[in-house]
Amino acid sequence: MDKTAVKEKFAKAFTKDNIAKAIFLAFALFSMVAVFAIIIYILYASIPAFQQIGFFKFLFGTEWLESTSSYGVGIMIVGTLALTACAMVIGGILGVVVAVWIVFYCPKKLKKVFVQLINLLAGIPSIVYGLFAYKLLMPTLLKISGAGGVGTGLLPAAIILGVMVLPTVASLSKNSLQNVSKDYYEGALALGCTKHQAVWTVMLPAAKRGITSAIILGIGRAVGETMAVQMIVGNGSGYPGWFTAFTTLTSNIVKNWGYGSANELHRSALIADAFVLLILILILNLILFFTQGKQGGGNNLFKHKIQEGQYDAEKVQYKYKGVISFVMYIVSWVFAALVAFILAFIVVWVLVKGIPNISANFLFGDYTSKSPTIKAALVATLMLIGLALVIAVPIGVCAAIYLNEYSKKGSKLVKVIRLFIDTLSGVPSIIFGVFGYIFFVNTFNMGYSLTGGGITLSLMILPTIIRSTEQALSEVPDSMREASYALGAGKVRTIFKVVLPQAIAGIITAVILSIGRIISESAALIFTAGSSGRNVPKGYGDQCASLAVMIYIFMVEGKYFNEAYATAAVVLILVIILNLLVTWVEHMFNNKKNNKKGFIRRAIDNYKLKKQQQNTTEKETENV
Amino acid sequence: MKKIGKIIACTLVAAAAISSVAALSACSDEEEVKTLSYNGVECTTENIENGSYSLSRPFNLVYQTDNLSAVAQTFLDWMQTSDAISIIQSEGYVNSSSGITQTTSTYTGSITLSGSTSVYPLMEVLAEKYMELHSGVTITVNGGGSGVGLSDSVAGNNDIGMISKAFDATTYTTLSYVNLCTDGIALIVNANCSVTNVTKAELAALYTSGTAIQSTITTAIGRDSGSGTRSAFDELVGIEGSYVSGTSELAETGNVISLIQSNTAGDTIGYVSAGSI
Repeated sequence: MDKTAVKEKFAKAFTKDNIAKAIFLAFALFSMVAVFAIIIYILYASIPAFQQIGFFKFLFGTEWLESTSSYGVGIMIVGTLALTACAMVIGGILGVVVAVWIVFYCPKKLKKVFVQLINLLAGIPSIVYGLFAYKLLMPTLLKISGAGGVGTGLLPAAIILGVMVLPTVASLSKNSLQNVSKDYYEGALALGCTKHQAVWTVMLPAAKRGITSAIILGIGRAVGETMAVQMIVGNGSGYPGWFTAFTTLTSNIVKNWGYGSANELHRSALIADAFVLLILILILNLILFFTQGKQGGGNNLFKHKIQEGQYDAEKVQYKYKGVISFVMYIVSWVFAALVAFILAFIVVWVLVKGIPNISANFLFGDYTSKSPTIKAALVATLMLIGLALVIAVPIGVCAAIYLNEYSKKGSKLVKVIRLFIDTLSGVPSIIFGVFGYIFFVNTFNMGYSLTGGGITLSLMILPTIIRSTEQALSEVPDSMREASYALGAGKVRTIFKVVLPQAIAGIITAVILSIGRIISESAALIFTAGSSGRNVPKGYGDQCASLAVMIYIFMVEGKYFNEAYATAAVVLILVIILNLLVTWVEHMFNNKKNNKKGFIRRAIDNYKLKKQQQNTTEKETENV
Repeated sequence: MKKIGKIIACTLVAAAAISSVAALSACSDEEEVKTLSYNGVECTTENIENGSYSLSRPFNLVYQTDNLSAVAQTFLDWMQTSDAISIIQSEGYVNSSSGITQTTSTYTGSITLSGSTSVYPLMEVLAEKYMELHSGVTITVNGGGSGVGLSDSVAGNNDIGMISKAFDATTYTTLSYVNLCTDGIALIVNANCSVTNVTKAELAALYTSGTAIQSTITTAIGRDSGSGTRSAFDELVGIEGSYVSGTSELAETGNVISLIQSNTAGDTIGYVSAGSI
């Protein structure tokens, strides 16, 4: 080939559009790279332990002793599984029943409020749940049951973990229940079911697939929960009991992290513990991926119902039809009330205990060991939010652009990328913390720093941003894109000038939710940004505890519980404000779309109209 | 339906508020902790100093022998002056040396310390005083446990590490140490507990096999394996291997104190640094 032909080929390949496509693809693959990096790095750091101890001996060993160098996570796996099972019994049942209630029985005006409530439950930081369980749940249970000891054990941990898992299960089940076609409901009624029978024996099984995914995601959350659990579970060396101290995979890492690199084997064993945890999460995610399968499930079950009905026609009793379903109806109201009560209780308790301890000095004064303040923590939190968003938003938006605008439908690459994004979102925060420690604090020798914390946080919020942006982009109608192309704009220009501005609502929502997540995050930051809240950080190389980490520090100090309540109240108020902000933003953008005028705009217009009328009447009186 | 919904919502919030107030008055049910005497000797600074209270261990500060910054060196030296020693003694720790003198000069820079949560409260006070004297110095004190103090020193993640046990020079060949003070390990129970004295044998029996002490104390709390307090305690009481199953192993000194405070049944015992009470 002669030179000009080659040049032409090059020119064709390197058009602006193709370069842009490559850049977007690179960002989309970033999440894959991140997941691989985490898995490989943690595996690499745990190989010494596996080599010296032996993989199966480590997995099934029942002792964890520094002095004899025998490390085994066997009992911890039992602890994690027991805790998860009990927590899922509480959280799963409550979550599914409440979801059914929201979709079918909730009065219309209450629905918005209740959905907000569930979102708020999901947004409460896990360390605040831990504080609540440590200071209220444990002593209360101890008093009620009369058991000896200090109250740590399976029962309080399962209860609080169940409450934490509940919002995840409830909102995902609600989504899948809403997606079940109304035809099933009407068909059931037509066949003679009562309303309640239709809901509980037809609609609920029809949403089986979605509810299963919701439960699996809930299990993932329960397995990975660290901060709330490690104070309640007691960290004992035996098997779990209702009030017996035991250890889980996650609490073991936090409890023993003290040994670090002074003892290479111990540290490697702890990272191996994190690796086992990671594998567990990955297995759960794979199970989830394979149960997704084909959409529109429930056909088989419905057919089955019709056939059964044919045989039981003689046994139909008109008086007592569907007793169980009616009982479930009552139960669902009780559970819904219970969930609302739990949320109100936790919020009120934290605020009542915390607000009296908030003062101007506490927020903005200088830290002394007699009266600690959160001035440094506030600054550190803002800096972390800034860094994490600056990194995650461009990467996330570009990745979402690739996934939505450039990929072909049903492309395998997209499915794989989506799998990795979902995996990244399921990784527990303690694993991010361990990875951040190995990667930033040790390998890059940065020491504890806000940079390390910020980058780790950006990895954690990336999946939320990608998914929300993708959702928002997919809602932009194709006609807009086609109109833009018809007017001669290229693809890149179309995306940035036409499509993206339409999707801005989704991106803003994602950003606000990520800010909420960052404020609530503690486990990942303790290992990367340090746990000292005294000195206001002057730059990103400094270390400082964030607000949520300060709650943990105050709790374990033992003398600073008032400050812990106050910080928890501050964080809770921030989370509530952010949640309301999300609703308001969505409302505002919905109004814009529908050309509806919101409350504020109407008030302003009314005022302007009044003023105008006043002016014209004044002019008339002047003329006269 | 709208009205019913609103009424339900309001009664819920009201119920929640009322029950939280009730719960608050119920859960503010905490007693103080009291210390037990060990083998007949009370836990006081005099007894620790003269050695009759045998549950005591040194607070040591470790650092990399070849890598100590000038700012950190002067802070270390200051902590051995008589001013610092009087602060240490007033906080409840034992240091009977007369103290070196140090010429004051202006210093600037930052110092990072990490390590034992038993040393942490004392170090916070000392750091504050030092930063008052030298405004150009910023001192950051982190916790984590004696294990973290040692590992961070070895890895160079801190300037000075704090440990609450004897320093093992054969394992840590790159580090040197300076003794800060001596601290006793206090045995604490809730004020409701009727026991006043325990012996070494009773303690060992409770922690290794769960035998109740004087039929009153049935549960034990310990510290995690990276804790200097724990290794000192295990060595002095003669406990080898892991605790009996069901013993909570807590991550920080403060945890032990707060759990004992809420144990109004008076059947649990724990051990903490004597100066932290």
